[in-house]
Amino acid sequence: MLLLLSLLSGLLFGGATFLLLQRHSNRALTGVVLLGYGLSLLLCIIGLAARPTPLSTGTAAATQATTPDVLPQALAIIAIVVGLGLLLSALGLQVRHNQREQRLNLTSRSAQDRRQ
Amino acid sequence: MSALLSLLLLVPLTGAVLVVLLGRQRVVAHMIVVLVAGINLVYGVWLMLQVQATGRQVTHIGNWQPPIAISLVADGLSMIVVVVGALLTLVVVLLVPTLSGRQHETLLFWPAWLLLLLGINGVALTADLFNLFLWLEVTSLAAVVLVASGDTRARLKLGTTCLLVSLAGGACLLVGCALAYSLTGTLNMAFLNERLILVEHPGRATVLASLCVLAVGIKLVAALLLFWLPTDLAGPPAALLAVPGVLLAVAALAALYRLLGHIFAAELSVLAPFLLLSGGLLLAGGVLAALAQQHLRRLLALLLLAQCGAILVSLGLMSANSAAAGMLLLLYDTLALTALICLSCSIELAQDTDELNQMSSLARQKPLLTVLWLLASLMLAGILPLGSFFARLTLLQAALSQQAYLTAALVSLVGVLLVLPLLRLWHAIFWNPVPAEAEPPRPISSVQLVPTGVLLLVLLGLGMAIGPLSDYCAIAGSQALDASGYRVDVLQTTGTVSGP
Repeated sequence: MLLLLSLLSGLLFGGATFLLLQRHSNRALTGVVLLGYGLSLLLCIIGLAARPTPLSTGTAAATQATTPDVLPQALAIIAIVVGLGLLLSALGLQVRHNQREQRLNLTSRSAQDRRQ
Repeated sequence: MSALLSLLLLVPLTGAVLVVLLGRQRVVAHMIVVLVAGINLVYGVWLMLQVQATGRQVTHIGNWQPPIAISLVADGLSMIVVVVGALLTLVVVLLVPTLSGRQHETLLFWPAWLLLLLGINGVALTADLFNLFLWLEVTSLAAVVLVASGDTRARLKLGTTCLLVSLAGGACLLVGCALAYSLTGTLNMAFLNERLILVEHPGRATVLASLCVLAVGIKLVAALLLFWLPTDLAGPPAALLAVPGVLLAVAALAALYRLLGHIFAAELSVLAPFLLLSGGLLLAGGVLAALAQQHLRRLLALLLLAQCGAILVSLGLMSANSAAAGMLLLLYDTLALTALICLSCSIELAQDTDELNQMSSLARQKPLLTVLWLLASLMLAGILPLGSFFARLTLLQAALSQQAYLTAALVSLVGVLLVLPLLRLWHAIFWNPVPAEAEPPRPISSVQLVPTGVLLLVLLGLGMAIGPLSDYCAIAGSQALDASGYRVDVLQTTGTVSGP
């Protein structure tokens, strides 16, 4: 199970890297989304691999072995929030950029029209 | 301990919220920013004195016990970063109202600036690897918002690029956090350092350290990208937006010191040859590339790159002396470079370009600007026997005392070569013969030069007080590489774990 999940997370990272390197900015933004998924999956995998942690009180070894560690899941939540924030700001920048581009195209087209 | 380190985080955050709420009147916004930066500066200097007198100051948030608590630690390095951030903010908030001619402050300018301040304070103070990731994200996101604030196509495009680059760095650091947690079961820097010694395969810790160093390096690239804005006519001047780049670079370098000095202290000796090599390449390459660069701001970025190289070398030499030189460089060269950036802001506004071969001579029209520029470049070049000179001298002495003769030769050679790009700027901006068809530069009001003049006075004062300053930097340098002392102070144990 762990191996499968790790492979899946690796696949997500690979896809994200490929998409981030594309010229087209929409693909790069999709890459940001995939990267966020890969990272939170990685953090969850680490939570699944049981180990004694500073938070575990050490009462029963059996419960420790079966209970996933909560701290990486908390980290995953924070990472999701950060990733969402980054994605939103990137989208915002992109939208503003597209608006500028459109206005520029429109003005240049109307200038061409006038010339014709 | 009694130090309320969370003030350094709460004050900028409150300031940012207040500026959003009350910042419609520009004067109110300026007052709030001055107040926040002033509090940071005064408290930072006071903490500097405390650190010098009694060592590290530690606050555990919520009074939790050390390994579980999220701790804030003020040591010599972090106070340098805090004070530099506060000083640069003060200079910028004094400079902006004096610039005339267009809308220089967009709605989000000051809130984003205060969040930038919050981010670098957080990077400086935190003792938790995950928090380091978060604060670096806050810093770079605020810098991106500042760059995009002009709302022109070029700025939005550069903002997107910066965001994606810094995202790559943040992702690397987050993977580093995840792997560190899976190896050791903790994210507290001091506890991490203690437990990394117990990891079975030492290679794993090395890989982890390299991943984190790579992440910080990518953040540094994002910082330098901010200098690549074209000069355009909307929003805050492009040169002003290079100051967030400087702050982000300072934050990244501080994070690097923190990573290799305190967390992965055992890996520092493994990575030191690579640090020396890359630092030397950056040092030489930055200065040589600056010789060929045609744009004013990009040239300053390359000088910043050379300074980052010098700091990498100071870390790679792994001695308390070289780290002290690194601290002095971090404090003094950053301030001197920012003085040049602030002056280049006036120059760009007057000339409408930052290309060196299109500038017309300014020496006759603006003698005051000329003198200030000369002073700032002499300080940066280390020709005046002031701070920068002593930083380079200390670095040279540290290299010589460790028989690192190649490094010593490189450092002294680059110290001499550094004069050439500065000389080139001096000629191109101030003494170029005026092309016949060129328009005369716009007038520069002398008021604009006052904040930079004040910064230069501070630098002169620091240069005069080089004795106490280098004492402080010696303490900061020895603290920066002293992982076991850090462990004892943060975990508040009495040094039970013995390790390297």
